[in-house]
Amino acid sequence: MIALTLLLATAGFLTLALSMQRHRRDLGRQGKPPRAMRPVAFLLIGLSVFPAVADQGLAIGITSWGMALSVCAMAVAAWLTVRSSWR
Amino acid sequence: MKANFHLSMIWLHRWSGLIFGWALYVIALTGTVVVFSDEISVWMQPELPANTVAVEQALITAQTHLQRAAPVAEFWSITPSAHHGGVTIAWAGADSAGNDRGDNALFDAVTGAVVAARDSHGTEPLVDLHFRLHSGPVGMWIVASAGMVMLLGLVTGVIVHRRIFRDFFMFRIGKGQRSWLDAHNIAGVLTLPFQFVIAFTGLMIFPVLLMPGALQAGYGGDRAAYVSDWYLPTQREASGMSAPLAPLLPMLAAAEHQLGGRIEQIAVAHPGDAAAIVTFWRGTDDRLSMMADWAAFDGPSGRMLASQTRYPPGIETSGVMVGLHFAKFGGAWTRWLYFFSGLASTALIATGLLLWTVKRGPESGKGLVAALNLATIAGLPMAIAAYFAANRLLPVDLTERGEWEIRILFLSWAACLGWALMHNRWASWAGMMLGAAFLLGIATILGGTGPVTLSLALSAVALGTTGLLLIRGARA
Amino acid sequence: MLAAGPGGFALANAAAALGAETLPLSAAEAVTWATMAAFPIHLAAIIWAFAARSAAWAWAGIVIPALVCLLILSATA
Repeated sequence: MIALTLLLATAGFLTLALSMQRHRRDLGRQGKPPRAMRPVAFLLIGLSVFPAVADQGLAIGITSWGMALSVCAMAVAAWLTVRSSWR
Repeated sequence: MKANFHLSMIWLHRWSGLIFGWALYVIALTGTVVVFSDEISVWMQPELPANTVAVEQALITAQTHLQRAAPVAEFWSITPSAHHGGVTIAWAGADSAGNDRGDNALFDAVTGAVVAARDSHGTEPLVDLHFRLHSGPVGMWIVASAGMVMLLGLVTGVIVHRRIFRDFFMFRIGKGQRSWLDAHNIAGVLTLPFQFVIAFTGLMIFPVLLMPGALQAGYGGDRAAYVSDWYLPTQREASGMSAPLAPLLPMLAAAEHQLGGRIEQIAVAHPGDAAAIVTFWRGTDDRLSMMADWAAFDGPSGRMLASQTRYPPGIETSGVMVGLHFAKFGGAWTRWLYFFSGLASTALIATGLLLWTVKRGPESGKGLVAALNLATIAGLPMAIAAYFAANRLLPVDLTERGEWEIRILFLSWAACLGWALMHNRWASWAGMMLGAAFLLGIATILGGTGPVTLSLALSAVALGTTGLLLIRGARA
Repeated sequence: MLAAGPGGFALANAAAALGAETLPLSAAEAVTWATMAAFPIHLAAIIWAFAARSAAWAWAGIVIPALVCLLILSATA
């Protein structure tokens, strides 16, 4: 279940990156990002709390979720860095 | 005024960061490693019985042993491990022949034989480095100050770094100083909540020791009186009349039912006496709060006397803070998240320290700051790698073996410092990284199978790759 | 710098002592909450000391609140 949290959060941060002009270029996309992208990103990030809470209970679940957000954001940042420096 | 405020915060961030940066790096790196202290400590004693054993089984083994060795002692203490098949049995007082003595040893929870594991202190020296820099009470105060500086650095860092959300993911690589600053920002911003929580909860482990004002006002500085106001497992004097101790197993079942979780430790005060008391402590690995619930039983009758599972809200809050710091609550997933966040902390501090030397150009590269950076940032990983390698390379029957492991840890760190003071070039950075990778490689090859060995192998690969990239970078 | 480190520490402890005496809780709870609150107070004092326009101003911001805490404390005791 935590794996699902990690997956959703990573997808959320990737969407967030795609909604930002600069990072769209890192990922090789041209043009302006669709306006709906940012709310979708935050929705995905928000939704990722549920698997963690379902698996570990409210208190521990939310704590794990917070940590997962940090780690997933770092993973996305690392991926963007690798993409932009190898292109 | 506003520009002035910004400038003074930059100044504060910079200087407090430099002065405490090395201590903070040591704290962060060792803290990151000891997220897995239970697993690593088991890895460092491969002779331990691998399969964990039910608490019931360990308790039967322990009671049988203790009834024979010290039936009327002052106390017994029984700690069944949750990580291997051993049970730690300690007692003090009269032995079976009536001589006053004591014992503290690890037994196989199934066979009851003494476990002959190699002498090793496990992650103890790393934990000691983490919370007091291996230098006793003075070190604890330095670490506490460093914790305060960490919080300060985070607050001033947020103030200094104005475009905190616009640069959310930004890492411009290969641009010298700009890259180091980006890395510093990214490590700080993306893990900001973790950094706050870990620094603040670290201070919350010994709060009344570090901020004695309230304790002084409320209890005249008497810490025991303060603690006994909210945590006082039942105690009573020995009666002097003998009475046989009831079997512990039914009491264990009652305690598990009352406390609702795995029992972590069992103690018997004056066994064999009519006033004997058996106390069970619940483990805290499945909850945030580190407050250990207890249940106390009358020894001869096996009747429950009292138990505690609730605490006043402030105490419960501080228990949760301690739990958040120790990261035992959420199983392996949570610990991996802590590990990676801890690596980000370490990187945050390391890049901050490096910004000092990078900013001031290559001519200051021979300075003391640069040497200390090299010895700390690259030297400590190598020393820790040497510690793990020594665990597998030293002869198993060496006298003072555990002490020698620790000596190797500090000797190799001292060697790194000496080298850094004499030759501080990019090649030295690469050399230490590759040295660490080599030593971890030895630990991997001799480490048997299992997740810890695999993690050591991955760390070796990561450090080795970094070292090779540094060599390539230095040539280019 | 002296005002920030030791000065702020003294202020935080004075505030904690005041909290321990005056918070309307049991003794143990008052001590616990006051101690926890003392750490952010210390932090704020450090930032204050470095942000202040002059050394005298910095000291004033530390010493006066600490004295007030101690005064109330001695009045209630």
